[in-house]
Amino acid sequence: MAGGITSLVTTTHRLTHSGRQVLREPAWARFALLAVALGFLFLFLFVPLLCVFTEAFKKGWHSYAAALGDRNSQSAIFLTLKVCVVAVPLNVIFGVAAAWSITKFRFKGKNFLLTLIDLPFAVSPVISGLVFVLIFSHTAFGDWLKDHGWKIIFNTPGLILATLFVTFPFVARELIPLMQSQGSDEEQAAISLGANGWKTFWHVTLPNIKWGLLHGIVLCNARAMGEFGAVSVVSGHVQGKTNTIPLHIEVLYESSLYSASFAMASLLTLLALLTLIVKIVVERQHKP
Amino acid sequence: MKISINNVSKNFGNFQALSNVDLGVKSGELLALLGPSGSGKTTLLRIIAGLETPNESGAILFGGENVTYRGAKDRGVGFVFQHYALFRHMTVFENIAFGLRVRPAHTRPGNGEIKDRVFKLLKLVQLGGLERRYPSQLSGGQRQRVALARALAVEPKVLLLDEPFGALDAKVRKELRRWLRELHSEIHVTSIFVTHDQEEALELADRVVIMNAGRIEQIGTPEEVYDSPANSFIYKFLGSVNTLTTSVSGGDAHIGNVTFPTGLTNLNEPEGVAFIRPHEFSVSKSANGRPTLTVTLKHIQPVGATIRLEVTRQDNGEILDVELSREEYRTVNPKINDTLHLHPQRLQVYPPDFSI
Repeated sequence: MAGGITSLVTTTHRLTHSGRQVLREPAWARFALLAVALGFLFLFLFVPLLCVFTEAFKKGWHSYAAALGDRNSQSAIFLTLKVCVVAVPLNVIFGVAAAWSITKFRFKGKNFLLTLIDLPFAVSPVISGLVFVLIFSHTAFGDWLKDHGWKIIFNTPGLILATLFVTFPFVARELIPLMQSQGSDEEQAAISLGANGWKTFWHVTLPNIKWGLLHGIVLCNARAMGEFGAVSVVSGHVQGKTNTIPLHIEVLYESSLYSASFAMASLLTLLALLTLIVKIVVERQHKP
Repeated sequence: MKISINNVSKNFGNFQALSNVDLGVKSGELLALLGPSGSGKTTLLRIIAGLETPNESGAILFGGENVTYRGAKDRGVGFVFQHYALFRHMTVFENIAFGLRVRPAHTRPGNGEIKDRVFKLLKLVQLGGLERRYPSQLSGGQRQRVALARALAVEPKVLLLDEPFGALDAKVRKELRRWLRELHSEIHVTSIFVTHDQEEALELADRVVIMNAGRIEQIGTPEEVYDSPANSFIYKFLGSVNTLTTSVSGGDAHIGNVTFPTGLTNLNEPEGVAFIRPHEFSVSKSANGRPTLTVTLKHIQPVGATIRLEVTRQDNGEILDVELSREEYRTVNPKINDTLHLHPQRLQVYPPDFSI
């Protein structure tokens, strides 16, 4: 009996021991994997980043400031901000509403809605832009708008629409899994305690999803500012009028104004870095 | 607050969760909805709370007032959720104060009054000093009591509890059960709780409602349902039971040599089933001239205050469980493979059930 127990103990011991050995790769393999991962990041992330800033400042602070201060650059920055100020809040409202209805209600066609939300990820941005061009320039509806003096395509509203379309999954996609995992017990508790829908949302749901929501907003905003394909199709490329930052960068680059184009690019890169920092902070807050 | 549930049914798609339930809850009583999972007990509780609406035929009355289509927000019920559903980002204090804070401005008490009431409730649920903690910093039993205090803060007319002790370990469960019983006798609010644990229902409730497959099987005091179960389902559900093949004729059940009156005079059933609880046998080593059931002792298991015997019938090999107190066991002093004589003190035979 005692012998049996001893042998059992040794077997378990041996098992865990060999189990660990199975999981542990030889030193060279671990080193190689790490080197591949870090080398890849260095080549494809760090070097280009560095490149953007060195190119931007190649001709010194002065020309950097001048490039950004240029009338067309200013207009591109302003237009990008304008598009984001409209598109991001609208997508936040849409995303929260979609996530709320998908996670808190039972209704037919829920899975269909989920699939639809993913659509912009599945469609090439250029196609998305093209769809808007077709809707607003080659249909009766488009003609009607034109007759009433509404210019959508090759104008700011078109840019906003294209950006809205491309970026609407971000907030919803961030919130749906979060809200699904949280369930609706707390909301039901709030309602049974006499809270109305708005108070339940404001005092119970929102505090529970705030970090996820912020994360979604940051991603949505980064994409809205950086979107090229869809926006390129609907913009019409009128310098100083309908060019956003990414489009303006292309124009500058095509005209061989390299350091100016890199100066503009550095703005988006800074935004990307800022986004990354916010994301890290948010994720740290996420897990207590 | 008296509650009447009239002809309530509920479908979820094709699934019939409740069918034609009628139930009256007396003012101030503590009522248990007891049943296996899927019996519809939680659905019924949620319909009473206003978290679900019944099919159109049914009605829920609170003290004579029809509240069927009034939402949970306006029903004035306190609901304690199975997993408590405490607001995780709020302190214990804010959790309890929530129901008062969300009131419309003209009925909302002032901050001072809210504070007084929260502290009074904290004292009632014995959580004084923990008001600044967050739910994640509390034990299961403490969370349960916060959930209860939060529900009581709005001074509900009805208190509803969904599996209130389901997620707690056996010892805490027992303590909280006693504590809830005392609390109820102190505040006397009409309370309904859902449980699948028959011991919990029998120990705690004034009356027990036994549910199965969306229907009410029996309503009665714990003694009534335990001592005279209305049908075989309830007999099996409320505690362990032996089922013995028996033939019934002339109002008597015949099990082996034993004849036992059943009270069912016009039942003739060559292959019926008799129910006998393990502690309802008298056991002896000799028949003493009485007709008895002869069995062979196979196993002896001491379980706390009782000794459990596993025996097989000598006439047809059926296995039976018998429970003896330690004293009885010592008097009989049986050994494995002994032949024992059993005489049922009570047994129950039900007419065959033609429903599925």
